Amino acid sequence: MKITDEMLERVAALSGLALPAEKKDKAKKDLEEMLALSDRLSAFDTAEAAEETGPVLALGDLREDIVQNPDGKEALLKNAPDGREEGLTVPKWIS
Amino acid sequence: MDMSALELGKRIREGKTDAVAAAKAALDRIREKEENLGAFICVLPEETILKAAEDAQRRIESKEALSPLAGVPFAVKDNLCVKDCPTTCGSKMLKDYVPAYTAHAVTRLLDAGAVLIGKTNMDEFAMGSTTETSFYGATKNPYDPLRSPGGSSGGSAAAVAAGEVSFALGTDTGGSVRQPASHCGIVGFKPGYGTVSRSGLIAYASSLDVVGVLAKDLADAEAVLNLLMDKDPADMTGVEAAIGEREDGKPLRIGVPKSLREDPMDQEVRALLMKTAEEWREKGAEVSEFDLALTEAFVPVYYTIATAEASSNLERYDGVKYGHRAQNAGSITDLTERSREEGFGEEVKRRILMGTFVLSREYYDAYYRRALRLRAAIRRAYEEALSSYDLLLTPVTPSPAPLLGTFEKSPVRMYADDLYTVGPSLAGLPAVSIPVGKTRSGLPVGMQYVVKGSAGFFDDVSARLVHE
Repeated sequence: MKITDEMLERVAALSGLALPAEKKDKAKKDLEEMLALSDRLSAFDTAEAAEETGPVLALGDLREDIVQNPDGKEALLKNAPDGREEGLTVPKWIS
Repeated sequence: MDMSALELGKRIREGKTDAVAAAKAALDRIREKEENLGAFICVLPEETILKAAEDAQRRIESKEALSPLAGVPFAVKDNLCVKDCPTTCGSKMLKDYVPAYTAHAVTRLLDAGAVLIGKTNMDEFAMGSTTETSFYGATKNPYDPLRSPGGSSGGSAAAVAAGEVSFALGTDTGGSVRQPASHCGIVGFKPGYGTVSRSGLIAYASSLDVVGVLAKDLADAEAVLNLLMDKDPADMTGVEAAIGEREDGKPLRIGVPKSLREDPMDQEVRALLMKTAEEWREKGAEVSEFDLALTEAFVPVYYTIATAEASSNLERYDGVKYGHRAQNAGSITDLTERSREEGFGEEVKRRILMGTFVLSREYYDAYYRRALRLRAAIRRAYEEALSSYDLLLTPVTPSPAPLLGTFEKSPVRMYADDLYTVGPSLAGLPAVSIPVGKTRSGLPVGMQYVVKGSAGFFDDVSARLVHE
């Protein structure tokens, strides 16, 4: 499949990636190569393949919907690149 | 450090040596080898290691910790969280990440008295087969410094093969324990999906990810797995390990997939496959070829599903909660996009783009849903094969360890080499890589055995799986 500039921009936006201009041609080529691999799937008849598309294993017993984790707020905030007091920061969001 | 983990554990319990001496020997070996190997991203501070070894020794002497691996030094792939110890996943994205808790599998080993030495190098987010996509540089093969140790658990494999630690944990999504084990001449065991808790494992492709073991021999791998396999309420995909069934007294039935004859396989690897099959015949096993359905779909199905799951799992890295954060972002979109662009390496970004593409509305049916259906059919093909055979025998990879840089220009070419390992991953089956010999130039080669269940495997089959 040929990947156009428009397709790449759309998939990059959906992926949350800002691709610099100089990397776009390489990204298109790589995506085309990877899709060529997946295009081989069309050679197989999936009419007979199972209808089931669930996970490999049925999920085990689900636990009760009760919070079990201890309060690790402080420890978790330590990993935030810009964590302040009791919260995480993001650039101004509402103007 | 050259004896097996079980031998070392026994000597420690018998008082012939102790946990502190074992830890010091590991550190000596690391000082000697690490400069030319690069197996570790982080070796723990010496005082931390020695203190842990002293604690282990005290627990052994008080008979509180008497597991076969008490006092034995081990390493952990850097995508398994260890509390207060940097856990990078081989990525710039997590360069400064320090987990607030320890992965269940690691906790099991620490509780058993094993002594953690450090965190090993890996392909970034476990995406790669050579350990070259690591942000922290490539690991070298202990048999040839110009070659890769394989990947993505290349650091764990190299550390065990070089005797820096007695065993190591790795993770296997499409071959990442088995393939580096083969390239480094050691045993690599991928348990059945769900039999070892994934709690504390940084996710790549959740329906495929499994914590596995890199060990000097099968007995060591069994001892580690016995400690790892338990039901953890924190992992809802957890299951009891299946038990392979075989009638007593009947010869072992070994199936070799026929399509392998047409595969692009290195001549020396092919010769070792034939030799292995012949040795089994001499031991009285029934070895025959059979048609394993859909083998040509294995690699495309695997890469479609794995990249789709990766794109979803890696969404969480947004520069806000943890991980790399771009500076001076003008908006939240700018912050997310630039943090991810700067924090992820090229292979990870390739797979995120691919995974997002196959999950997008226009292409979902053609790629992702089709792959899921074929995956179910592949699983049935394996079930059918394992109703006729006790073991399936294949190579681990088509060729021995590649030279570093081989796949630099065309990363997609690297994917084709996963042909033998991705099948059991898609089917969720246990599979083990066992060294069978070396090429004329001295590079190790392993063979893969796919089995029905990890639990019965060691009691039943593994005792006979000894290749000199």
